Amino acid sequence: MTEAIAKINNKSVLLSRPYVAPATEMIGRESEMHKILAAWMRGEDGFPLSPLLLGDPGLGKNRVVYECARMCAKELYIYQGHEDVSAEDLVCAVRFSDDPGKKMDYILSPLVTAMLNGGICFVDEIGKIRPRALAPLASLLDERRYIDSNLLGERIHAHPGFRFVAATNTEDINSSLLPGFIRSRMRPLIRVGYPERHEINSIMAARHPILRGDGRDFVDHFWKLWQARNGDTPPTPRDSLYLFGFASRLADYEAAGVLRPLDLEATNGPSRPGKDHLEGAFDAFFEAAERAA
Amino acid sequence: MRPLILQFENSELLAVPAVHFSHVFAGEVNRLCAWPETRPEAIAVELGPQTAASVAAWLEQLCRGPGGPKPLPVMLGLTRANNMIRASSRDKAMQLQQETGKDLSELEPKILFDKLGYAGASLLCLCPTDSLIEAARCAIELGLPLHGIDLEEMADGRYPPVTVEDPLSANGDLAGYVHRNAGYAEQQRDEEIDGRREIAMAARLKALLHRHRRVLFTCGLAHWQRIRRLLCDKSLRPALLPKSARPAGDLFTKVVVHPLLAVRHMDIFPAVTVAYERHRRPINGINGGAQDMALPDAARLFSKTLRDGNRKYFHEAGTKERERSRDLGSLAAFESYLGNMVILQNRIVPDLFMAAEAARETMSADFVSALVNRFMDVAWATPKEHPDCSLLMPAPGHEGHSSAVVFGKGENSESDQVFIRPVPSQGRSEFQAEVPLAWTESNKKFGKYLKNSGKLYTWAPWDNLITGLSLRAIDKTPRSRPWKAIETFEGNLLEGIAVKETLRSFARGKEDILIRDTTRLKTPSEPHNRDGFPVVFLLDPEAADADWTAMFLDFEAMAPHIRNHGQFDHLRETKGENLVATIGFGRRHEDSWLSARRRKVRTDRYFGIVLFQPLCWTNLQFARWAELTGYERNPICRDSILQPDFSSDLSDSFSRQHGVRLKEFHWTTNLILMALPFARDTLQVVAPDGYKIASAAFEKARSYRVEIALVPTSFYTQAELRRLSICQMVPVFTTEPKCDYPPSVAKQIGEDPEDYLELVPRSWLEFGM
Repeated sequence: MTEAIAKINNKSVLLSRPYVAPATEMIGRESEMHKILAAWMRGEDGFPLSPLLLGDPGLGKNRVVYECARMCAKELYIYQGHEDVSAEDLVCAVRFSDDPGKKMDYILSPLVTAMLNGGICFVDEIGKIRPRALAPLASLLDERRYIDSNLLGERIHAHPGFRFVAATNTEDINSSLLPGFIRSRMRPLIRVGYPERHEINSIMAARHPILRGDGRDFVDHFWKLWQARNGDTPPTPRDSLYLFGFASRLADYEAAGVLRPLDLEATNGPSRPGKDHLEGAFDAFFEAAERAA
Repeated sequence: MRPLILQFENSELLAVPAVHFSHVFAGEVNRLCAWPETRPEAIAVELGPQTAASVAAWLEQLCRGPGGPKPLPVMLGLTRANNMIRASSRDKAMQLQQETGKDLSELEPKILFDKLGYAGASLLCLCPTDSLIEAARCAIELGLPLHGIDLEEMADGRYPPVTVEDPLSANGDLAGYVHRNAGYAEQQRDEEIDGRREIAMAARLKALLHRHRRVLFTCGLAHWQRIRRLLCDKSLRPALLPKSARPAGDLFTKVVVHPLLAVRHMDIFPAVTVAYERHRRPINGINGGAQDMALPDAARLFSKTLRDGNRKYFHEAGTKERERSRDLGSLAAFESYLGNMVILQNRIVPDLFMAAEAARETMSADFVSALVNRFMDVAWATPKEHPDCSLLMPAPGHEGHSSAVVFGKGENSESDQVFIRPVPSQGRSEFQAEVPLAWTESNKKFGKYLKNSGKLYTWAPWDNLITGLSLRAIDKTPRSRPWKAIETFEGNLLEGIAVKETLRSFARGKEDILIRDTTRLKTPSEPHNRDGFPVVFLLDPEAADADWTAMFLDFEAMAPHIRNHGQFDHLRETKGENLVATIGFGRRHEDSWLSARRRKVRTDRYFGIVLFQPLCWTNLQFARWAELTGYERNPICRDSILQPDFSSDLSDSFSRQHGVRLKEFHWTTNLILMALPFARDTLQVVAPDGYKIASAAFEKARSYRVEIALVPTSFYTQAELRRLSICQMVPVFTTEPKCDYPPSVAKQIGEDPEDYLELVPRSWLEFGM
C-alpha cells in the first residue's frame, strides 16, 4: 500500500502507491476519453476541470480513466470510496509505527500523494462517500487547489500537474447525497453509456481469442440468449466478459474430467466452450436474479 | 484560394473534394464557376443521374422569382425509397426471415435497421452550403449541363467517424487541405459500397473529360483519392454516359425537413448556412462573376450567437435566480471546457453539437435549452410555405435520433416510422447531443395532440406546487435514524472498539480506548429523502359529497427508460400498468374549452389528496423513481376507478391487502389509511389546526411501524393552499420526455408551465438525470 517517504515541512510521511493498470487494448469510448482529456487541459485560465463520470456498473468507467492516465503518461492513484470513509481518511491516516524510534507513521492518502507528485487521483464510487467526508475536496477542486490536514496540521498545495476525476454509479448518485458543493465543482458530468453491439463483440473477442474468426456463431448465440432474457436492454462489457468467462470455465471443468484433486491453478489454455456451456452460464447468472425479482 | 486542377490529355478537371455541408467548399464551387478563367463547360456531382436531374429541376423552380433569383429556403429535401441491402448482410437477412417466419418486407423497419443496417429511405437535403447543391445551382445559373455521375441506387454504407482538420482551415488553400486530409478521410470509406460507386464515377468522369474541355467535379473528400487513382488508371475505360436524365417525380418525395433533422444536414450551426445564403450572389446576376463571394465568418457568428444567448439567458427576469447565478459561476468552466474540446477535436470553431454537449455536461438543463434554441433560431422553411411538400420529422420519442422519422401531411395524417440513412460524421464533431428545441405552437401545426387525446394530464404548475409543498412538509419533519456515537470505554464494549478513533486518540497523546454505540436520533430530513413520501393533504376535512380520483403514470411512457425489464414486465403482467401517483377526494368540473381545437380543459377541486411521489418530472425520472423504490412506494393497478360501490382492482387491493374500505371510515381517515402502506418510517399529514387523526389510523400506523407526523396547514400561505385545491386537467402535445402543453392552455389558465418550479429544490429536479 505504501512505499516512498516524503517530507512535508520536516514531517516524514509515507506515500501511497500508484496503480499500474494492465496494458490491454482499449475498444471504443473515444468520445468519453476526449471529454476527460479536454477537461484536464489547462486551458486559458490555467485551471483544469475535474470531471465526474456517471454510469451503470460494469460499463468501463474505470477502464476509461486508466486509458486517459496512460495517454497523459501520468501516475494514477485510486481512492476507493465507501460509506465509512471519513474526511481525514481522504487526506492522511496514522498507524502505529514499526520503527521503534517513532510512535506513529503518517500515511498520505492516494489523493494527497497524487497532489504532491502531480499525478492523477481517481476517486471511484464517490457517491458512496458521506457528504461530510467530502468536505476537504471543496478547497482542492476550486481555484485554491489545496487541502488541509488536521492530523498533519499542514496545508498541502497541489502540484500544477495534479488532475482529479471521480466516478459513481447512476443509482448511487440518484439515491445518495453527493452534496451541491461537490457537484458544482465536479464539471463536466460525463455520462458513460452502454456500448454498441459491435463494440461489445470486439471487447469479447479481444479477451477471448476463441471468439475470433469462426467463433462468430458463438457470439451470435450469445446475443440470442441475451435478447431472450433481457430484450433490448444491452449487456455491459462486464456482463459479457463474465458470461463468456464462466462458459469457458464450465468447459474447462468438463475437460478436467474425473481427475481429483482438481488443479484449480491449471493454465493449459482454455477448452473450447460449446453453446450448452454458454446456456449454462446464462442460467447460472440469471436464474438467481430472476428468482429474486 | 489555390484550386485543385488536374490535367487529363486536353482537358482540365477542377476538383472540389468537399466536406459535405461546409460553406468553404460550396464557396469554392461558386468561385470556380464565377471566374471566367476557371468557368467550366460542364459540372459533375456525386449524385445519381436521376437524382441530379430532379434536384436541378426543383432548385430551378424554387429559386426562380419575378424580381430575380430567390434565396433557397432551409431546409427542403428529396427523399426516395431505398431498395437495396448490403450484399454482406445476405446471410443475416436469410436467418432473420427464417427465425421470424416473415418476409423482409413484412418486418418492422426498426428490426431491419437494427439487425441489417437497412434504412428504408434516403434523404438529400437542399442545403445551400453543400457543394453538391451549390454545383447544381451554378449549373442552372450558367446554363451548363449538370451530370450526376454516381450510381443511382446503393445499399447503406457504414461510415466510422474520422477526424480531419476543420474545413475552415481549407479557406484559401483547397489543394493543401485536400493533400493533408484526403488520406484520413479515406478511412471513412465503406469498400463494399463505395468501391463500385467510385469506379462508376471515375469512368463517367473520364467520358465527360473527353467530351468537355473543362469539367468541375465535386464529391465527398473520402472518395477523392480513389477516384483520382482510377482517373489515372488507363485500364479503366470511359463509360458510356447515360442519356440525359429526366427528373423522376414519382421516385422522389419533396419534403420540408424538420429543424431537428435538418440541423444534421447543415454547416456547423444553422446561422452559418443562413449567412452563406444571404451572402451568395447568383453567378449570372448583375454583380455576379469575376468577384469572390464573401464567406460567412463562422468564428464571429459563433461568438456573437453565444454572447447574445448568454446575455438573454442571464438577464431574463424570472423566478430561477438561484439557477441563473449557479450557471453564471459555471460559465467559465463551460467556455474553458468547450475551448479544450475544440483543440482536441482539431476544430477552429465548435459546432452546435459540441457546444450543446459541453453545456449539457457543465451547465443547467435550462442553459442548454436556451443555448440550443438561440443557435437554432433561424427562419426555417415551414410546411405552410411549401404546401406541395410533405413534412419529414423525427419519429415521436426519437427527437434526438437522426434516423427514425415519420412523414406528415396535414394535421391528421402521419405515416408509420421509417428510417433514413444516417449522415456520415463528415469529420465533424463526433459528439452527439439531443437538441432540445422548444417548439412554438405554430411550429407544431403539423404535429398532433396525443393520439389517445381522450386523456387529460395535470397542468404543470399544479404538479410543481404539490411537489414543492410536499417536500416542504417532509423537510419540516425530523426523521429518526440510527446514529453511531463514539464513547470512552467504561467497562461495556457495546458495539466494539472504534479502532481508528482509538488510534487517533493515541496519536494525540491521550491513551483512551474508544468504543461504538448506536442510538436513534431525530435528525433533520436530508435533501434527497425518498423516504418522505407519501404526503397527505387534508385541505377541507369538513367537506363531503365528493368523489375519489386516482391519477397515475402510464407504464407505457416509462418503458423506454426502464433498466430491469424483467421486473417491470412481471409487474405489468401481474399487477397492471398504472403507477398511481395521487389519490384525491374532490369534485370534478368541466368548465372550459380550448377554442381553437375544442379540447377540453377540466378543473377539479380537491378537499384532500395523497401524493405518492414528485410529479414535476420527465418519464425517465418517473422510471428511475419506480426502480429505485422497488415499485413499492406507489399502488399499481389496471383499473384506477375508486368508488365505494364499484369493484376495481385498485379498490379491491386496498380493501383486501390493506383493510381500507371506503364506506367504513370518514374520507380523511381513508386517505391516511391508503397512504400508510406506502410510507417508509414517517407519514406526513398536512391538516388544519385542531384536526384530530382517527385512532384507526394510528393503530394501522403502528402495525406498519410508521409514525404519523402532523403538519399544520398554517405552515403554508392561504394562496398556496387555495391554488393546491384547484387542479386543471389539460390536453398535451406529447408526454415525452415530459408533458408539453399547447401555449393556448397557458394563456387560458393564465399561468406559465414553469410557475412554482422554484419551490422544488434543484436536487429533486435533477433526480435520476
